[in-house]
Amino acid sequence: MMSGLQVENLTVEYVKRPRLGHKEERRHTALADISFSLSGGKTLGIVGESGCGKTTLGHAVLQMTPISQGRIFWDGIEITALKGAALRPFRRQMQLVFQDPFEAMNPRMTVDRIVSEPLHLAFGMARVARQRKAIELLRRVGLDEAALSRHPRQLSGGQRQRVALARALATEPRLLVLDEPTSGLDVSLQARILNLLRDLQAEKGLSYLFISHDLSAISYVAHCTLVLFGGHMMEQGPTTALIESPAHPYTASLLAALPNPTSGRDMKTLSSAISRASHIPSMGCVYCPWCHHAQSRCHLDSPEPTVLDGERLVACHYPLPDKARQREP
Amino acid sequence: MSAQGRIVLDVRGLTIGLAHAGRARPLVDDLSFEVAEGEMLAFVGESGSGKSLTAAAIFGLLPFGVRRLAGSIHLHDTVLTALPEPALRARRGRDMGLVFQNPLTALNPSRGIRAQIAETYRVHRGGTRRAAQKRLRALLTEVGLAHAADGPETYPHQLSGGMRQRAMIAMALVCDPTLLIADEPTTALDVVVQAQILDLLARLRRERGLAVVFITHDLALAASRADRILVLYAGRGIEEGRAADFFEAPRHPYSRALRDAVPPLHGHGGRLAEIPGLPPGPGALPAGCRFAPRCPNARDDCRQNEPAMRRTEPRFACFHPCPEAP
Repeated sequence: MMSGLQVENLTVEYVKRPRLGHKEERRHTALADISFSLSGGKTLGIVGESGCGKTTLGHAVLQMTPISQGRIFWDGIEITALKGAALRPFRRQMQLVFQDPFEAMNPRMTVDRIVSEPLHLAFGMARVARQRKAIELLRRVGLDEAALSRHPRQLSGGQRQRVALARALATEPRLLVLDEPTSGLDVSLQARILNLLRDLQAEKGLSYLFISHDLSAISYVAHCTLVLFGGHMMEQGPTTALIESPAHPYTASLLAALPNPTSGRDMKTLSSAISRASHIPSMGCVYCPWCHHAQSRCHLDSPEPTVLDGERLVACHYPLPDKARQREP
Repeated sequence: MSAQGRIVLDVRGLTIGLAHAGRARPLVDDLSFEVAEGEMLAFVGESGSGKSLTAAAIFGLLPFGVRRLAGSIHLHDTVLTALPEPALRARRGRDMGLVFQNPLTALNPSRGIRAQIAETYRVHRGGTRRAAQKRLRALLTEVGLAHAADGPETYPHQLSGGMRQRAMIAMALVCDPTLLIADEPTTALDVVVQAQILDLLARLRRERGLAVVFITHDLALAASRADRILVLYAGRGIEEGRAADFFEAPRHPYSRALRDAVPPLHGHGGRLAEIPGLPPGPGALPAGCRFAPRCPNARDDCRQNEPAMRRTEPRFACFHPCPEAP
């Protein structure tokens, strides 16, 4: 039995309302044929720009959004085949931390209630035990008991994200889906949250699905990374390899978009096209309208993911040459 | 300091505090800086360091209960701080534009973006609807929103975050201001759109000589895109320098800590350096240097006297700075 999370050929489609005077249904493919596996105690980074399907992927894994095709396994058990009460023990093992903790909390609840509610729901814990456990959880994420009686609005952004983390940890999950957990925070707070996530992982053997558009945060926490564009997998593999020598032109362009304070401002790889999510072509490679390496084949054939270097998957007809390999004589 | 051209914005000794402060410290304390034509100055600091208040003070838009206690603000030859409200109002949006962090709350959701941008133009410049339309078309093309220039009106909810921010920039630029203040314009956006917005600002600076004050908490972003950086901590300027040198060797321990808190893309291994503790709140300011309680270099003299900003390069306010780069 495989431990951890396996996702096979996951596809999520949304049916749009027919246009006025038309009958046919229109479909929007939010995720197309995504496969990956995440073993226990590891982190998979999901990276891509706004609208690429990162969040949908997290929600689909947690069974929060209906999936059109594909299977999801947790510890070898197909959770996509389960429903209702049979699914509940699995829900407890997988928790979600949202990007904006303020909007994810009931503003009228105190921190005490926010953190102890899942304890009640998941374990039916009595009140005194709940409170004791809530204090323990808050301490673990670096808050003290004084926070218990506060409301979300009385907390700073970093403290709120800690409360969100404490709430997610309450059910003793084994997988956390972290949806841009640090993008709303200052760099100094981001550093603390990232360090805390690392410590928790080492201590509890948690698996993380770390969703972010920030490759530098991903590079710090993720063992492997999956690059999404327009709902399609572009490239997937060990994070270091991906960053050192991106094989997909899109990965390279994401890296080029990062501010680089030490070596000038080369932004040439970026296209000026805006709002790409709504201009995804219906045939061929989804990235080809913006790709500098696109050839006629790219506009016609959708590239299948192929294995590169034995450890990476790349969906590109003309992957970039490996820099490391070039350096060798 | 600024070799590029004439000074557009000159702020001297700006101090902002609560109107009924009692013993509370000023929120912005004796801040001085200038921005030249075509130059981009980046304010860098954590939340609550006074970045946005400074921007609000330049526009005369300080929140209720907060006042400018001292200092002067010059825009070209005009003393903004001496202008009465109606005269200041005539300049806002005409001579200086402001871009907010969250364009969705700054734009009117029930009006189209063309109507909103044209309003700014007609209020300040007058003229016919047709003239405004013509100006609008050129401007929307310039900021990359050409498709919104014709046909049915585009409403803010129909635009993505990056496009909304472009609409905000168009609104700020419609009257050809000489100064643009961008308050965390890209914090809510992904890296690709962020790079596009900054490319746009770079072009406007080059082509129109626009002076830009760019507010951010991301030192790496500031160092890669701005000409100069001013680091703020608890309302005080603590280091100022050319962006090119800055990232290599910040001298103030706080600037260095900010730099080291960003995960490096290549070759990490250890933990990220955290800055211990929190910035002081508006009530309690430590004696001596305000960064001393969190500073790795702090000694006894730091806890007794507050270091002043050096007048000559390299400019920083610290008794025990980090060593220069080898």
